[in-house]
Amino acid sequence: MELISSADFLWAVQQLFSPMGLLLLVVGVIAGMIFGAAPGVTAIAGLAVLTPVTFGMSFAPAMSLLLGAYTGGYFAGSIPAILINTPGTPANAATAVDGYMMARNGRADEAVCLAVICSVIGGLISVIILATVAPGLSQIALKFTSVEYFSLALLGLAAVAAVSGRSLYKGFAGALIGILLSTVGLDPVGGTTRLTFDVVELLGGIPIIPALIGLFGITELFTKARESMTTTSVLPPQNEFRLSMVVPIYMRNKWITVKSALIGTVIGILPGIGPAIASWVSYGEAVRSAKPGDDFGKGQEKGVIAAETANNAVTGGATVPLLTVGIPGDPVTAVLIGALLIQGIDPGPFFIQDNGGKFVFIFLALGTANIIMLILGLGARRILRWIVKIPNHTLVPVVAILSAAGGYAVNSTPFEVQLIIIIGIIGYFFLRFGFPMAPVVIGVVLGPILEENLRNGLTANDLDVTVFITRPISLGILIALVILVTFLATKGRKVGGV
Amino acid sequence: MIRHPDIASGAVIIVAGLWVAYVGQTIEVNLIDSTLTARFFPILCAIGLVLSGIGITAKGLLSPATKFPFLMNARVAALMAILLVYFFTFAHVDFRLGAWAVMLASMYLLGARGKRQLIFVPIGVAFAAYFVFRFGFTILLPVWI
Repeated sequence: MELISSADFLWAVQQLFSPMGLLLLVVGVIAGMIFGAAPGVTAIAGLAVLTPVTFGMSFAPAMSLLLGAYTGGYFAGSIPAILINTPGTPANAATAVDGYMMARNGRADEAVCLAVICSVIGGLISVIILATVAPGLSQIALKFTSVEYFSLALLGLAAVAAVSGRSLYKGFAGALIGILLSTVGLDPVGGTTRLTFDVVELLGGIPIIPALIGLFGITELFTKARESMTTTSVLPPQNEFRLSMVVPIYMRNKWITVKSALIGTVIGILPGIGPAIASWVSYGEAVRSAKPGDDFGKGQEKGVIAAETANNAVTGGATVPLLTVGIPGDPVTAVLIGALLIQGIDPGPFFIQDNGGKFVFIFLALGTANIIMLILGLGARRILRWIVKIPNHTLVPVVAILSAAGGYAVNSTPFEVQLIIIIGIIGYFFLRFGFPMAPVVIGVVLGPILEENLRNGLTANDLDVTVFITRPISLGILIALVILVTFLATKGRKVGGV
Repeated sequence: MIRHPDIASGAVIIVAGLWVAYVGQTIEVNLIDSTLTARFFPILCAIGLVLSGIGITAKGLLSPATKFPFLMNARVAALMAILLVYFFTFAHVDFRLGAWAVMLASMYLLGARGKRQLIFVPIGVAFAAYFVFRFGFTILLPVWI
């Protein structure tokens, strides 16, 4: 059966390359760059704040805005990593190792140029793989039952919990709290109320978008407010970098680029594992295959190339599990699930079959966002340096105002806005005690998927729990879960988490 | 004296787990359910929380003594107070006025002292945000006029 027709392709092209589609894609890339480049305010927070504004939009403009921000945000986190040794997102921590040293050696412009171009190459390769792999995977996923979905969701959740933060127990506690939050409201099977404490507004459950804004946006504001209110840069005079130098640099490093893009894409496809792991694994591989004279950690261009190619390659990879089985590939795609639900789309195995045009639109938008990022990133790289210098005393209240307005946009009622600040304050204390935030968010998103499929799976099999290990695919996923969690809990934690 | 923050945070997680287990017991159960009951998942999470809490506490007990994390300073406490008032009164105050007030108060609190900065940035942000949401994204925000 043909999953995607030429009419689907035509529809996607018409929607994306309309004036409004392109404008919103550019706006999204710029917004993502601002959130990513502003130190301490991550691309995830940016996406969470932007998602509610898509309530009034149809699918194409909404996705243009969000996918632009997704792509731009992952790249722009490298700017503060290179210029002030402060990664804009955890995914850019590996970039800081050699990127900042390049800046200290007067090569900041070169490092930023390499970061832009590597991000684009990584992003484009992963988009091509997304377009190739996802339709086939969704066909396989059509054969999944609730049993396999439960096991897969468990795999995603356990992987995030295992790699986040410094403690396995804290990661799992965070995931369980996220799942608990998702159980608030009416029980989807029996219709009884759960954990609502007679608050009428909670009957519908804790709305996902305000929860995400609170967990990512507000917690970051309080964390920023604790820190010094000024950023200082002590970089020496910088050399100008001629773009014509890019080609010889890439010819020298073409295999690292391709290898890093593949590492990023494959890690992105694994449910639950994000770009931070991808960039460190890729950086580690570059160090492992170093030639004599490659002084990693002292301003080696290969370090920037490996880390930035891999972390942006995650963007395409992470959308594969999102669009084929409805499981988020990383915390950012967890936010994207919220955006798709706003559009009335339930991501999963039927998504590509029922929405061929929308699938084409997503990969075209991701690819085009990368091209826009290349133009903006190279053309405006000197302006991007100024974003790093936006003072916290201005940035913090601006994000607070956008968060409140975004929360109000969900239902135009005060409840969501109040929920944001309550969740944000609790989340802040949670962070202060060293609990990671990513498992909470993934728990909120995956909680309903886990519960629904566990209950359906057991109902369909006369409450026989052995069904999870007697069905071969489920057994395979659970074995993968044990291996992955054991590996990540011992090795993955050392790289800093998602 | 608690010698490691994980002992305290683990204990809080254990208490939270026990509390959820208690509250979970009060969830109504439909006796004709042919599948897991509505209380199964919350109680499963509660058990998991208690076990995680035990693990966190045990790790804290086995670790060398560490100082407690610095939870908040006066600036964070004041910002929390400002944002609590702002978020709880959001729907009842004109967006432009509320945004201007919260910008001004927060900027001053967080160290902005330039007169022109304090005059123009809050007004600019309040109106820019209003116009972007109202006319860019066509989202209705609370306004008095």
